Amino acid sequence: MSSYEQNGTNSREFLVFSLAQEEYAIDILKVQEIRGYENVTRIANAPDFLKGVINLREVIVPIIDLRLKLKVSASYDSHTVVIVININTRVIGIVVDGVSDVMALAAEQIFPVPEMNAGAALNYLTGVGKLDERMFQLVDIEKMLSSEELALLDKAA
Amino acid sequence: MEIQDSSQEMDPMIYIPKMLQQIAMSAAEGSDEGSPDAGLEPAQASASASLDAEPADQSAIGSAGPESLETGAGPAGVSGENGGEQSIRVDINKVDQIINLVGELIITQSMLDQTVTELKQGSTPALDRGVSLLQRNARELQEAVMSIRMVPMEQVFSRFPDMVQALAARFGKDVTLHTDGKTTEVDKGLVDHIIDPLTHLVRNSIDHGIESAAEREAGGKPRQGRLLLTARQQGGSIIIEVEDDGAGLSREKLLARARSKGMQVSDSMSDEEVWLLIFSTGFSSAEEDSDEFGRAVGMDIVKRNVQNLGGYLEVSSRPGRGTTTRILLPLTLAILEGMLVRAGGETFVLPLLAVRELLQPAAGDIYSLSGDDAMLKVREEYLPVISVHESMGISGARRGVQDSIAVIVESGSKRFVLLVDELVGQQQVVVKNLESNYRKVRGVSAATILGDGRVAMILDVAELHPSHSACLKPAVGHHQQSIAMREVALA
Repeated sequence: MSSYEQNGTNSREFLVFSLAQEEYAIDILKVQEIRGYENVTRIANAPDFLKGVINLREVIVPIIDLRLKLKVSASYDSHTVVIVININTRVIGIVVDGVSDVMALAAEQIFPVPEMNAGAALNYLTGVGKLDERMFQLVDIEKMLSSEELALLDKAA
Repeated sequence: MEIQDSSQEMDPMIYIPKMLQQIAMSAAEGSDEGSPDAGLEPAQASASASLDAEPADQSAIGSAGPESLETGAGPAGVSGENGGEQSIRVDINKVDQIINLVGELIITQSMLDQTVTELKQGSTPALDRGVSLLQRNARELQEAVMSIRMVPMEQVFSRFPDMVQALAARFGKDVTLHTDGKTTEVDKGLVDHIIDPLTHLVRNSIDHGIESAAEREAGGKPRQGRLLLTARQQGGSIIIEVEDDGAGLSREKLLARARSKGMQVSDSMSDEEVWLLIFSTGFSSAEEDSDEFGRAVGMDIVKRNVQNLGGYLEVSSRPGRGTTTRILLPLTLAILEGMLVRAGGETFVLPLLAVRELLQPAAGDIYSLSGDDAMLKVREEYLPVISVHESMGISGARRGVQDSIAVIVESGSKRFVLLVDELVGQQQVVVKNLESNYRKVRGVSAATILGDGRVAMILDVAELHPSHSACLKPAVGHHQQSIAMREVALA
C-alpha cells in the first residue's frame, strides 16, 4: 500500500471494475491481465463462488466469481470478464460484471472509508476514491480474497 | 501488465518456439563458467549450476517437496570426472522451464491437429503433411527433453553401503548389501524424494528384519544377513525393492499389535493387507532416539512419502525367509500415463499405474449394502464401489450401473471399483499442480491440460478409497459442505 510513497509520484493507478452497479478499484500493479470467461473446469466440493480452474498459458488458475461472493446474481456469456491478479505468489482470476477503465488517483482524491456499522465485513475497503462525479471503492484484493471461507491464501500467509 | 481480449491472445505457435529458443540459449550460456549467469547472483550461480544440489522440481511435487538439500552431499562431480563423455551442468529450473514449454507446445500442437481435422474440406495435403510432421517433431522433442531429467539410480544406491555398515554395527548385526539395477534411470525429482523412504526401509530391515548372527545360525541360515536393493523399469513405472533374508513378518503379532492400537482389523484380512499394516499411521512406535539416519518417525512416513510421489507400496513376506518391500513409482513426476474417463460430461484422468481392469458390470453383479454403499462381484471377489459422480460432486442424472463402466483400481493392496460413464482413451498427460495457485483438493492429486486446452483433474485413487472418502459423500446442506471444505483446507 505504500507504493506511491516510494515511487515518489503523487498518484497511483487503479483498475476500475463494476460489480452490482457499484464501481470498485484495485491497484493496477496486482493485475496481470484481463480475459474472457471460458473453459472453466469445475472443482469438486468447492464453494459456489469458486467456479473452477482455467488453463492460462499452462498455469492452472482458480476462478472466483466476486458476484456470487457478494450475493449478486451471475450469468456467464461471451462478455463475462475475468481479471487475472497476482497475490503474493499466486495467480487468481476474479469474475466481475465489467471492467471500465484505468484511472490515476492522486493522494488527495482518496478519502478514508466512512465509519459504518458493518465494519468487520468491509475490512477489505482501504478507501474511497473520488474523481469528478464518480466514486470508487478502493479494494485491498488480498484482504477480500483471504477471508475465512475462501481459505485461499492460507499457505501463502 | 497486459490488457487483452481472449480472442487476441498472442499466437501461441509463434510464442512458444521463441521462448524455447531463448531458454535453450540461456541454458547453454549458463554452462559456460566464465559468462555471467543472468538473473542469478554470483554466489547463487555456482550453487544452482549443480543439478545435484538443486531441490527437486517443486512445481511437480507440490506440498510433498521438503526443501532438503542433503542430496548435495552426494558425489557431486561424478558424471563430469570420469569417462570421455562431455556434460554440462545446468540449473534445474531452466530444464523444468523447457519441459513446461515443450508440454505447452504439445498441447498447442494437439489443438492445431484437432482444428485441422475439423477443417477437413479446406485442408490441403501440404497442410496435413506439415501438421503430422509437427506432431512427430513435437513428440520427439518431448522425449528428448524428458530424458534430460533422468538420472541413474546409482545416485541413490551409492549412499547405502556406508549407511548399511554403520546401521549393522549399531544394531549389532552382520549384514552384506547387494544392489542391482544401478543404471535404471529415474526422474531427478524422484531421486531426491526416494532416499528418505528407502533409508527408513533399510533401517527397518536391519533393525527388525535381519536376526543376530547367533539366531541365524540356530535357524540354519548363514551368519551374515543379506540385504538386496534393486531398481528396474517396468512399463511406465519404476520398481524399487528392499529385500532381506531375515525373520519375516508375523501375521499374528501384527494383528495383535493393530488391535492393541485400536485399529479395525479382522482375521480374514489377506496376508498382503496384514503386511501393509506396518505402514499405517500410529502403528510403528516412533523410537525416541534420533541419529544421522534420520529421526525414527515411524513407517507411516514412508507410505506418505511414496504416495506423495504418486506411487504405492507392496510387501511380501515369508516367515523365516525374509521380507520384500516393493515401491512402485511413476517413471517421471512431470508426465503421467493416464486413462481418460468421463463422468457427467466432465473428463477426469486416472493414473494408468493404478488401473487393473475395466469391465461392464451386469446388473446382477451389484450388491447394495446399507445406504448408498455397494459392492461389485468380480469373479469370486467382492469389491467396494465408488461412483466418480458422487465423489466429485457431479450434479445431474446418473446412469444406471449396467450402463456405466467399472474401472477396477488398486491402491496399496486395496482393490475397489470406480464407476464412470465412459472411457475416452489412454494418453500421456503433463502433470500440473493445483496447490501453486489453489490448494489440495480431496480426491484429486493434480490437474492437467487436455488437447482442447481445458483443464482436467487427475484423480487420486488412494484418496477415493471408501476408507478415505467418508467425507466425500455429497453434503446435504451447505453448512456441512463448508465444514468439509475447512477440513480439507487444514489437511
